[in-house]
Amino acid sequence: MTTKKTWFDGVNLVLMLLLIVITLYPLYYMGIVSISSGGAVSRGEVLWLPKGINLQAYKYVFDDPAVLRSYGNTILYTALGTLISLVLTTLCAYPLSRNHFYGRAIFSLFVIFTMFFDGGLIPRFMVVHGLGMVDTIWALVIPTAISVFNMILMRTFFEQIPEALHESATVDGAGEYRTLLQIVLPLSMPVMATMFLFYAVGQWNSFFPALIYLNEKELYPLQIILRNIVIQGDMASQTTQMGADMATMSATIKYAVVYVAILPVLCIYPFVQKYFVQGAMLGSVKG
Amino acid sequence: MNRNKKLRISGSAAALSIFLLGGTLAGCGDSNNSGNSGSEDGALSLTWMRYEHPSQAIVSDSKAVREIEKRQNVKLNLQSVPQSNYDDKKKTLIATNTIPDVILVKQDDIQNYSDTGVFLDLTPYIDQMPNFKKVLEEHPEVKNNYIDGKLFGFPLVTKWDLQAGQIPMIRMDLLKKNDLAVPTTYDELYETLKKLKEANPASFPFASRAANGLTGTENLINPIAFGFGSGYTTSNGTKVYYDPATKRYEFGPYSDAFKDAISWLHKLYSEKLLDQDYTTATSQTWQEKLNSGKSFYFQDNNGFGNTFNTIMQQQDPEAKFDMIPVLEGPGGVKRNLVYSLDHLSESYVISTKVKNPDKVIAFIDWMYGEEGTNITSLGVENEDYVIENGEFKLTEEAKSKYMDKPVPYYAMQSDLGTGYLGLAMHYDDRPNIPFQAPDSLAWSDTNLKNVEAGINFRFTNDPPFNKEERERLKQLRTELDSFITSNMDKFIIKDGALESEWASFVEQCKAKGADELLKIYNDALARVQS
Repeated sequence: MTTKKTWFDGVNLVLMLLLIVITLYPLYYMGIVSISSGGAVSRGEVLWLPKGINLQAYKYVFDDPAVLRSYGNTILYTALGTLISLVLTTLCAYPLSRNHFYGRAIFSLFVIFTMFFDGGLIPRFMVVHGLGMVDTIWALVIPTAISVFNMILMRTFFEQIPEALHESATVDGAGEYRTLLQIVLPLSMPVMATMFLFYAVGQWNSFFPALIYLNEKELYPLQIILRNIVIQGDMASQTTQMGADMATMSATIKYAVVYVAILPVLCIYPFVQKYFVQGAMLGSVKG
Repeated sequence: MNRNKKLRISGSAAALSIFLLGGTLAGCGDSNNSGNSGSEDGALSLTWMRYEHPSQAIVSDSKAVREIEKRQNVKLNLQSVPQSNYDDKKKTLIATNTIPDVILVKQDDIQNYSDTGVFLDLTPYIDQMPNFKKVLEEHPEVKNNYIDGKLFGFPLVTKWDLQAGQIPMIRMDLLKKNDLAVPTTYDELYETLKKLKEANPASFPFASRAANGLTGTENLINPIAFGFGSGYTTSNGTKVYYDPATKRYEFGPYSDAFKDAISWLHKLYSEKLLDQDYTTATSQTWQEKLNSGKSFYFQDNNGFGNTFNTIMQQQDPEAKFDMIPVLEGPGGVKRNLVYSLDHLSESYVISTKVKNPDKVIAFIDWMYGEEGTNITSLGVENEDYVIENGEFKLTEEAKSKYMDKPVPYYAMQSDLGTGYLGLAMHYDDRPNIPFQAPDSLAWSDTNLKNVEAGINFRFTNDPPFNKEERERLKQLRTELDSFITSNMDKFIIKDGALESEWASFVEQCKAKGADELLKIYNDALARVQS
């Protein structure tokens, strides 16, 4: 493989750098706005460098009891939801990956059917309501426990584990659970890490189920609070004196909340990311 | 052997899933969403849902909630939903027939769902409600909320509020600095803006924005056309307007005054006195221009004036937006549009599933009465406020408790559970006075005086339409809206378009159903008035 530099590489490099700037700038911009003074921001003076640096916005955000409470809720929902999702997805994917599983085709069909056809919001709400899960944590973690797409990814991964390993485990006296726990799972760490990331980020960012199924404010996750703060400024009706007072609830606070909300995910990503690429790819190529 | 094993797998998987589901059910048997108005020991317990604005958190045991329980023996179980997605939640609950006992909805929801029977018809109860009846008499516009002679919602009405509107606001300090007189007519305003532009060549003196569901073009034309003696859209963007002079709906482009207004705007645009990006300006970019001295004039919510002044004065202590007297249009018309004080498009409805409708009705009537209004608007007398010589004053404790909060007024309202964003149905916004700048209060007074003097006119809500009319309006609006909007921009931006194409534009509006649109509005209006 020769590594001769051509003009193409040069152009490519410039384009890629540009792409990086385009991707990172919004993140950077939110960062500098959140630490700038409100006045400078509303005069449109903050573009590349922060102005009048202060942490007022963050102080305001952390003084709000709703933010802290919902932060705790989100951590709980993410931890529990991810755990339940991982367990259930594994338990669904593993049998379906075994080719001598009785009725495998028909079960797979049932599961995959739900990927394409969905009752929609109203029937789903009625089911959750009927099961008495409204206003409980279960409404957030049970209905979304298995994502069919993730399950298929996992199943494909399991299918690649050589049959010989299963046979030798059986010969050594391992039952199905033991095979799953001690042979298959240790060999499936890349896909498990990927699933962990998918589910965890999904739970962390999810707001719609919480909005629909929860009535108690004490149970709200962070994303609901975040969304209310970020979107409100844009859509608030400003047909009163009051509207004008509130329209200027500053961008600094908005972006500070955004930062507070994305920080944990930003921190986890780099560590799981190496598995992520591996796991997503391994599932996709057969043989 | 092989077969046995297969069975074992599926068997245990099934057992496991049943176990999991069982656990779920056991964990959450006690949630209940609606129909919860049972009465033990005579107490009434109500689930009560409304949206929550991020500035004013809804506190489940706020002072108003405690006082209501103490005085009325009614336990409110508040369910607050973030305003950003309130619509989704509300529509799901209505569609699945699981609304709480009392829920805040829009007039649109009442129109769309009243025939499904989820909302209690209030008409038979009105005679049992002396306080609400009085409110109805004081606010005759509520009759726009009736559907086929029935009232389903308790509208949010206002007892007192600051009056804001789309009022001419100009940088008074710059007028002084450049030795300019305060303009009194739109022609003088044009001359003034021109001189301001000469003094600051890089500026675009007149800035406008898209806001309140209207596009930038609509929000620009509305106040100007009205000031010229015509008008443009209703508050929801339909291209007809209520004209207080003829007391009926009119279609703006039919009148010469409207053409004059557009021609005036074109003049401003072509001389770069009007923001060249007015079609795409958002509330945020608009604020940036006015805050940073790139623009000096706006005819929009005057409430912004004081926030702009605070921000500008951090850099330039002289800078100041101030209200100028209502401008005179050509032909001597002098009038302005201001916002409605009531929020009649928002109403609380009662679920038909409540067990004691009479009790609920009696309670809500109390909320409209003097005691209820004060508790849900002002707090408790002598604890939170005092009335001295008829003047509202906050107590010292209240002041010292909230004055150092980031947004003191909302911190207080949140704790008390009061106000338009709290529990009030008939709200009195006097607690806002101590937190407002003197300028804002003076502007509000001027606006109110002008309303009484018949110079300022409030936006009115649409009269109620029947189902066919609503369908037809949708079709007509699809036909007309984008056509008119793109033409308006053409007339404002393009030189010569107004002279050569106006007549054919008006013809085409007619062909696309402007007359029918007007007729539907006026028929509906006539039904309300008869």
